[in-house]
Amino acid sequence: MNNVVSAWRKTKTLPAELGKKGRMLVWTRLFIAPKGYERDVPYVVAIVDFGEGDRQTLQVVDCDFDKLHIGQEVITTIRRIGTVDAADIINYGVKVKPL
Amino acid sequence: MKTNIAILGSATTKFGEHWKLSLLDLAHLAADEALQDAELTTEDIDAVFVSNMLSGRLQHQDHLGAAVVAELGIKKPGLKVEGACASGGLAVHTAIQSLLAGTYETVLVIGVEKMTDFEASEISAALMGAGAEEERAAGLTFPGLYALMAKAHMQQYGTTREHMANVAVKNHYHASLNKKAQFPYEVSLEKVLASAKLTDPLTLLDSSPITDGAAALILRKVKQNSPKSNKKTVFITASSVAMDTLRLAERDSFAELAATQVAAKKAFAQAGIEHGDVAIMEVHDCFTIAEIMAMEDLGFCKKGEGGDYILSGETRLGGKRPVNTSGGLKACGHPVGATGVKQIVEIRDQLLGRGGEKQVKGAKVGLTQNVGGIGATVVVHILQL
Repeated sequence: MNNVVSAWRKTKTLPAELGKKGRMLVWTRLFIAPKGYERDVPYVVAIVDFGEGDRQTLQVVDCDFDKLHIGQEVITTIRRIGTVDAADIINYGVKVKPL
Repeated sequence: MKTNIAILGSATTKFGEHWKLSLLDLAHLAADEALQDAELTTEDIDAVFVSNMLSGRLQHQDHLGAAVVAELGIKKPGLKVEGACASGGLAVHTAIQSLLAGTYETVLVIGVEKMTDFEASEISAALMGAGAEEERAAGLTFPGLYALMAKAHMQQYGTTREHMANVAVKNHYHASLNKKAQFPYEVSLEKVLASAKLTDPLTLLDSSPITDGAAALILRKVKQNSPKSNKKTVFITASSVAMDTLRLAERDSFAELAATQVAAKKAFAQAGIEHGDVAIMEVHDCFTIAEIMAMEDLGFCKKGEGGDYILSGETRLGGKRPVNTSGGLKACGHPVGATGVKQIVEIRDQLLGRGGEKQVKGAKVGLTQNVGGIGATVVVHILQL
């Protein structure tokens, strides 16, 4: 499922995604995770509007769930994605944190 | 134009945990019972359409059309049709197109899924195959995606947790009258509200379960001027498919399934009927919020009023237009590839008056709505006696 080439292809575009500011439109918190994300629960996922038609579904880290609100300002950051076995390639990707 | 496809036979297995039965056993059981119901044999079948989502990932069976016709001993074409949780509706749609094209005269549609051999986290990850890569990377699940839609619906229209829980209460009541349901018992509003949170705001009892099961239909195109049979016959008079973006984030609204609106409009035009004609429906209540949106997007109430509409009792057995008399995905169970086929089996049973304890009296027109993922695929069928 996870190989060097696909990890390289996915991370190629990451630098351009860094430091982007956007606003949260809607969000949820997950208590039950799919395989590979069990160690992250509970975690927050939001649809973030970065403007100019750029909307993405991303995890929200370093946040106080009860203080999140519609229009919450967030900034993108690079984080580890899920958890893999010791011999596997660690995935990195974009998440957001509140500003 | 009306499609005029006759349903000659239909059946479902019991939905639930079938530890003793494999994927192919389940398919075989449903097919045999549908053939018996139609008083036909495998010799009469020109092609088999198998609807399934996960056999490749879960059973390592990626040649399912061939596997099923071999299992049944039918030496005719066997095709797998896949459209996530809308696989069933899509397979029926595909089968109908083959009949309308004149390629085949009589076809068998089998929807089947075998899910309970696996851990919930494995099934949850497998089902996310119906989502987008970005959503998988965010660690989203289907309870998570529908939670986002529920949050949007709450924000926009003031829909409450009670509105949602009420859908589960109604559908469990219907399932309590259905021997083939996975959960043939009632649950209270308090129990739904107090059940374990999967996400914010959806709980375990807002969600359809992990299920094994199969359903089958035998379809034939009725020729013009063919003599009328004395037997009561249910016809599929409309079959429509509509699509939307795979990613939720790209949509204009997160609180509706636009594909349901489009598919419904096309289906009503095809069958030449109006909303007022529909006496009974099976809709895709994979989560309680989905049934609320279905009522609105199919056009049975105004946008945003789905929660109150269901609360009014109109869609409960005994009401004006019962919805999900089988118990729906919520309480009858959701073997994903079988669901869209099972919905049609339930409506046919009701129109023929063989609905058992959950029979709706005098129903002549029924509708099914089957959703793939978060509505990237929606299939609507209309059935008439």
